[in-house]
Amino acid sequence: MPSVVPSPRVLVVEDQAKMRASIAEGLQMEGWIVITAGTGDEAVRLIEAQAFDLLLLDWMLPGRNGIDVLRHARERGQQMPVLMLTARGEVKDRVTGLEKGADDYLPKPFAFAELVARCRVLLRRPLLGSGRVPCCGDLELDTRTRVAVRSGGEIPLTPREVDILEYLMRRQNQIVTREMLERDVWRQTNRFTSLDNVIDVQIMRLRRKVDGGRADQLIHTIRGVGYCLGKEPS
Amino acid sequence: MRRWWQRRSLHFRLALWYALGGTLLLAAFSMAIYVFVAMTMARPLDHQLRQDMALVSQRLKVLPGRKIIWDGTTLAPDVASKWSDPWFELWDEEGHLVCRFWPFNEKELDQLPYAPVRNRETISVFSVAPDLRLRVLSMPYPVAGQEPAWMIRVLRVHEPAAEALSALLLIITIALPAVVALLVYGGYVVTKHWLKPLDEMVMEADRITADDLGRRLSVKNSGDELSRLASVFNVTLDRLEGSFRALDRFVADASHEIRTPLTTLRSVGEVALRRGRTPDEYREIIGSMLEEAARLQFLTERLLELARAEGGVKTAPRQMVRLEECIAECLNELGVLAENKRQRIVFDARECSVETDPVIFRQALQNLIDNAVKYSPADTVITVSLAETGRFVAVTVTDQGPGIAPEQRSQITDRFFRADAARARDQGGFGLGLALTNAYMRMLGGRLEYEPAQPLGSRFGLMLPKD
Repeated sequence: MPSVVPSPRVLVVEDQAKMRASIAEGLQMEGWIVITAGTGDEAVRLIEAQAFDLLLLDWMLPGRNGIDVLRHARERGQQMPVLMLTARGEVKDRVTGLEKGADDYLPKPFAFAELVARCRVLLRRPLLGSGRVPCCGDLELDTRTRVAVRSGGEIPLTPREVDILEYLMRRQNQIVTREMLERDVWRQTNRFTSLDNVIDVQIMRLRRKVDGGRADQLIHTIRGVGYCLGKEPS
Repeated sequence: MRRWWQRRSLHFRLALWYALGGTLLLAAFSMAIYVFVAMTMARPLDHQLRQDMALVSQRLKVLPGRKIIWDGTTLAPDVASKWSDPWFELWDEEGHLVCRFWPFNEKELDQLPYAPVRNRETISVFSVAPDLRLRVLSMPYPVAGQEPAWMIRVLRVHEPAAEALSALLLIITIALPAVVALLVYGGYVVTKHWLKPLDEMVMEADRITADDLGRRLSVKNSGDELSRLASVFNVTLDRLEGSFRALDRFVADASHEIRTPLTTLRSVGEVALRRGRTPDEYREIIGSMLEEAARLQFLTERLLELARAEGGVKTAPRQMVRLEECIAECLNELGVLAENKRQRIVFDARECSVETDPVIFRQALQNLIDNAVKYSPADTVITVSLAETGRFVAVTVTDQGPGIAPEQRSQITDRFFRADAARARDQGGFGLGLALTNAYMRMLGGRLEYEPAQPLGSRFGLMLPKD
């Protein structure tokens, strides 16, 4: 599939060298072309010279800050999607960012899986289309009837378990963090009273039903990060 | 702009007030006394003047052509110097002297009495020589064919009353400054004495610093304003010391909680690098480090949330919330945790609506349920109930766990409080849940309550105000 569509070009603007390098490496592993900038001025020069499909912009930058870069780009008629990164997690900062023309906003610290997921949404490249019957190996889920079948046998699932399974199956071989599940499946916006333990228990029960007693495990725990559904852990 | 006297000490200002106020009041008082005495002393003299007037009016007649008749005989002006009857003067309609009968030689006098006020009865005093003052009574004197009326005046020596009055004046002029001086001095000394405790308090308070908050002002049991001030000040210091202590404890606890995962993170990483490992081992080690990082992140977020909630920013949008639905939803979500420990959550639902913020309320309830599940043993029952008590709606969560020891009950809402530190840490808790719940309840205008459950366990109550 990636060979058909040209790889997206992503500009990462982040002043912290370690962070910049790790984001760049992570996104390159997705098969994307990553160009990096360490200051706002450098970013502006690059934006004026080249075309990008996505801009990852840190808010706090030495010299020209992220908002300035964003304004500059928008004033030049640059329409590429912009994902703002910032350590300022206040709602009002988020609103300011979005008002200035950012398409999405990710507060630090974030899980890398989440960053990739958000980028994918902005690039309109979800891994799986909206196919009605996602499947993985011998596991199939009919999203209309909400029935999961593995090796021909129906798996009895609660509604919440179906939601989780569908979310995981639409993101096969991608890491899904607890934050993502909490936000997208449990629809909790405020993460401070954490549902982490609830999520762990739900996944454990789902795994018992899906993978119980089988050699080929489909749901994997990525320690310290989250979960992943696929034939092989990445 | 402060006036110059506002920059002076209280002593000075009080003494100044005594001086100014005392002088003015005493001066007014002395003047009143002087006038009163003068009037009283003149009264017998005035009486004699009136008798003279009656006598003169009786014996005097004025015939047309300005002929003055005294006891039936015409009076010639030359008898004046030998006059022994009551002294009198006559003034015509134009205010000119007609005649004056008295025993003085006018050439020896410095000054003569001048014309009386017309048409009115008046009493006045004239100083005619340094040692001679006259008190006079003037009245209109109708004379046939003369319009307006003439004036008649009788005169007497004022001497005796004047002596006593000048003595009084002398006493007043000498005594007044002396009394004022005493007043100022006494006022200064007395206020200084009374305000001395205030000075001492200032000095003591000055010695109390952030490092030495244990000091207190000494309170005398006199019950006056200053001792009340001292005790109020001491109460404020108690509170200040309390919050300083809490802050110290918080900093100590927070740095401990932050250092623990940081230390783990470092040592796991360092130990891993000491020798080569297989990719699987590396994966395991990095995963373990990520877990600690996640723990740090979680702690940071909780602390930030706590600071925000305790800052009391009441931006919470209020709406009518069906509490029983909100609770049921929350229990439905957290139910898996209980199921996992074979615990049962019982909710005796009843319809109840209250105006509050559903998101914050759920966070508060979620913390309580989470705790109940975490700290109760397996195969127990957690009871959630909903009741209306007076101004509040009480949502209670009762567990069959170990409960909280009486001596710890006052600390349950402290940050980093754990009833059983070792066990709670194993469960992944930071001891911030109840502090957060308490802060959330304050944001909602309610409070968090605790009571031990019978025979065993804890009962936490979320008290939501009805309006």
